[in-house]
Amino acid sequence: MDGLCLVGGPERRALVAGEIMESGSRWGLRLTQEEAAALALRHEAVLAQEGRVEFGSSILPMLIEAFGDAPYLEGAEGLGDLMALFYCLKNETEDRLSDQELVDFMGRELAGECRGSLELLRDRALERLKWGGGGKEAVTDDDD
Amino acid sequence: MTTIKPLTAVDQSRLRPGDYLLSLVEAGLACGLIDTGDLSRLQRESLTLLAEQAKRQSQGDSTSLKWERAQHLLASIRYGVGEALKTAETPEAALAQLTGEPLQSLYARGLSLIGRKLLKTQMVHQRLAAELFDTPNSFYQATIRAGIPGFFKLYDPETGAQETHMTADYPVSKPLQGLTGIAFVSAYTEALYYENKLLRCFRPKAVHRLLLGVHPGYEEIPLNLYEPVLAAALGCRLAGRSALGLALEKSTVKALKKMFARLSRAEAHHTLWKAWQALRRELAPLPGLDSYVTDTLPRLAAAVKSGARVFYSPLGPEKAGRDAMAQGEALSDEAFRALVEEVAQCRYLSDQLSLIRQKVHSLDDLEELLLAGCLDWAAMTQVTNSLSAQERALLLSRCLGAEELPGCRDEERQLCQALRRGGAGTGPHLASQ
Repeated sequence: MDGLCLVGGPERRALVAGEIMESGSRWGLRLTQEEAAALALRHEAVLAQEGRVEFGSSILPMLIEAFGDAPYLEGAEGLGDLMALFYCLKNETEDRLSDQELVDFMGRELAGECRGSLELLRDRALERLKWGGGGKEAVTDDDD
Repeated sequence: MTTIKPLTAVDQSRLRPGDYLLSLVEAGLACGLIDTGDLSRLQRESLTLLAEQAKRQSQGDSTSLKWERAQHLLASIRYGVGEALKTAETPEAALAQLTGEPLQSLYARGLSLIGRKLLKTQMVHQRLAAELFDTPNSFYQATIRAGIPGFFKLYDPETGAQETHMTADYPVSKPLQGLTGIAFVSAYTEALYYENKLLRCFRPKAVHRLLLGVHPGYEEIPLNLYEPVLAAALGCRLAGRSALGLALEKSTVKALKKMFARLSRAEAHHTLWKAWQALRRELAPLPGLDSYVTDTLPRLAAAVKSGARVFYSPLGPEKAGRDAMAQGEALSDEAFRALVEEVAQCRYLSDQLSLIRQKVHSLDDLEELLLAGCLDWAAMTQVTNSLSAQERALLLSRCLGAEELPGCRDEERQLCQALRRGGAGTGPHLASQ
């Protein structure tokens, strides 16, 4: 009766795909049904890869709201990469940052010194976390 | 003494107290009292509970959590539901509750039961700590004074109800295998409470001597104190004498061993039970202790019959007195002054030591005498070398405080020095030689 195996599955994927479509149309990110379904599938795979479980609404609406109209976001694939980086950093910070704090950090860095590069954001964030001990201050402090 | 258990459909041997819900579901599926439809519902409901717990824990700040954390929370939920189900009269009744009641309400009931159990355990612990039996066994002291309070500080029924948070190094007599979380700590504290109650029926010195007879280093090993004390008390009653001294001679121990060898296990149990009835009458009325001791007797009988050593003779006072000084009777002021004068007038060191051995029985008196200026350096080191490590440590801890003060006397500095230089402390104590 572990139950955690029921966290994913087709029902959950359909729910996530629906969220993607709805948020995308609201925040200016035009995606097809197929792209949304593929993104939902990737979402499930990334969660499994990062060893995380998600309940209720997924993180994707928050990411779409924050980055949907960003000039550096390249469609569904770019959103998927952003999502993968989000969960990776969530683990690296050992959940000490709230979803919103992490998304804000990512937004600031991408708009600033990273100039839209996810690779650069990843490297910078991991570097800061390495020296900052994974704490909240490591990524919320602007003066590095 | 024989309990009749009702026949049940559920194989009770499959039930695990530490993960009652999961084992109950497995047993229920095996005997057909629940089906896969029930299982699916339970899984869905447990996930809903998990989502609520996860949300509450992150205060709505996070939509996801690590798999390990989720497993941990789920185990906590299962534990809570399990505690509610354990109150059902039979496993079948528990399964009926599980299939007929939403998991959320069972969990809420479980949490409330855990809260009550926690409160009750804290109260029992408070009483136990207030009436703690005076023993030098460090495991006994540390577990009750630090281990259990540590659990209370860390235990959170909502996020880790299954966590035990303590190593429980001191072994209680009652078997508590398979229990975890508050169920374990509650049963453990209660067992300690009753065992402590029995120990308090006897003088610490008598218990100390007996336990030295069990193991000369019992102070520093995780040895259950209650079982040898109970056995010795029962042995005394079987030998037709008062149990209060816990004084079984070696010949009586041999005779008891012979007697039990002739009995069957059931007869051995009955004999011990009769001895307990006599012991109960001798000891002051102790509510609750009767059932605890009665539960111990079958295990004691089994141990006797397996050939394990159960009855022990106390170590003679000449050997057991090593630490008696800390608990001995102090001299009156007049007697103490007379002793100081006498010691000061002694011409030989051997006479001084002999006087001290005869007349000093408390650590306070010894400390005062050592500081009274009636002993020279050689006598002082002789005396301190004859103390046990524990007594020396106790005296040193007192001296160290005084040494720091600006007005510290030469005698105090000297005593500190002598105690620091002290030998292995294996020799018998002055007062008991």
